[in-house]
Amino acid sequence: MSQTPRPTGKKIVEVSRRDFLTGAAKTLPGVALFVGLLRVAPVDAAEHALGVIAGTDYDPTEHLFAYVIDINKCIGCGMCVKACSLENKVPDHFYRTWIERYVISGKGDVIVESPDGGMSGFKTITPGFNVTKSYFVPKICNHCANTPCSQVCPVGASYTNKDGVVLVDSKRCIGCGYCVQACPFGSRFINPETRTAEKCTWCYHRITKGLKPACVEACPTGARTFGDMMNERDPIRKIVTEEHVAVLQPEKLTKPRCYYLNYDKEIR
Amino acid sequence: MVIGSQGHRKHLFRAAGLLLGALFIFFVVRALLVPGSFGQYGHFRGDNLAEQAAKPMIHGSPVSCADCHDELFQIKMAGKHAAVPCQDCHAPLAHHIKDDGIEPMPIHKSYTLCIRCHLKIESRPKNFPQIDLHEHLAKANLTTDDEGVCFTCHKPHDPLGKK
Repeated sequence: MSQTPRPTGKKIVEVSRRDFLTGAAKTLPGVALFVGLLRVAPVDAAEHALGVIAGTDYDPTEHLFAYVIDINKCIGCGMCVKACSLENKVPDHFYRTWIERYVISGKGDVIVESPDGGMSGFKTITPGFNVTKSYFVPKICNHCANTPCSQVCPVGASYTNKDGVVLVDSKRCIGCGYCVQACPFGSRFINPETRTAEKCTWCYHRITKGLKPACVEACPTGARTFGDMMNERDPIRKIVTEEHVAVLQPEKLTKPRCYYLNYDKEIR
Repeated sequence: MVIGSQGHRKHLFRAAGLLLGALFIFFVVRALLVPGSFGQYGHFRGDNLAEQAAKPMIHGSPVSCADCHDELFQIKMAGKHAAVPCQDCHAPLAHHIKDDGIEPMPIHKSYTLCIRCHLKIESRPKNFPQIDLHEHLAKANLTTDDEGVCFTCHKPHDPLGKK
């Protein structure tokens, strides 16, 4: 390079054809690698590349699931809790779904209990006050559209799929437990064996094959209904759009996809 | 201003080189850390959906049992227990049908199974058939000493049918 001082202004660089070509040949692999990596990095891949899940003929973009629990139909037999536990190999004393019993007096006394998650059913109780109303409330992950749990995940292991199901990628989860704290419904726990967060998946391995979640199949009274809001003939569409449905803790604005029929003000 | 001068231009090239180098390293690290299927279906590892979907099914469908036990299935469907799924009182299908053959299906012939649904509890819906266990048994001079006491009068597949 010449060290001769130049006057300011337009500079004309003289490069011979040979130098230009060798220079280009040297830089090309670097540029190619750079561009190649850009392509690997998924910038807006979510917009395309959608389709059926490998190993199934299920396309998540064609479904939007919802779940309805009818409190007036629940008899508290606990078959759903047992079925869930067997289907998903849930560790003992942890529950992906559970049943709570509410016992209420006219004076406002409220007892809420869920012995063993309701897995073995319920016995009669003597609450020590005059019971004016009592009922069972099955609980489950609400698969919120506005999830507090996925939002706090520091590693992107918890996510909401296009079909409305909130899932945990156990290979990415570091077991920090933020999501367990964030869920206002107590639907998550850290699996003591895998040390990763776990929750109801609406039996994703069943619904992707056109079956119902194990808890819905196990309910002998039809208290639990599961269906696809994008399927016009699915009965759940009629229930959610035409019946008076409520959600748990609406003040949290989490927009649950799990709805309740015959809800009561004491339910938390 | 002497921006165009040879000596100062070097700084600009050096800074640009550093920036390019940092960007290059960023993209290499990003490509190594972000899983290949990330973003396929949304802001998560797309392969996880296939992993979730591939988990083994334990319970069969509500009508799987009819494939082999159609006669019993039809009796159940005609009776009061039509809505009760087989796998509630028996065990899940996968405990019965295994890769290496058929295991005997457990049968819980115990009154404790029946009272899970039918013991009188005031939390249950009023229109659901419930019994005060001891009062109910006393009518027929029976006690819970016999585990299978309910089956003295009731057939589990058709509980109100003639025994």
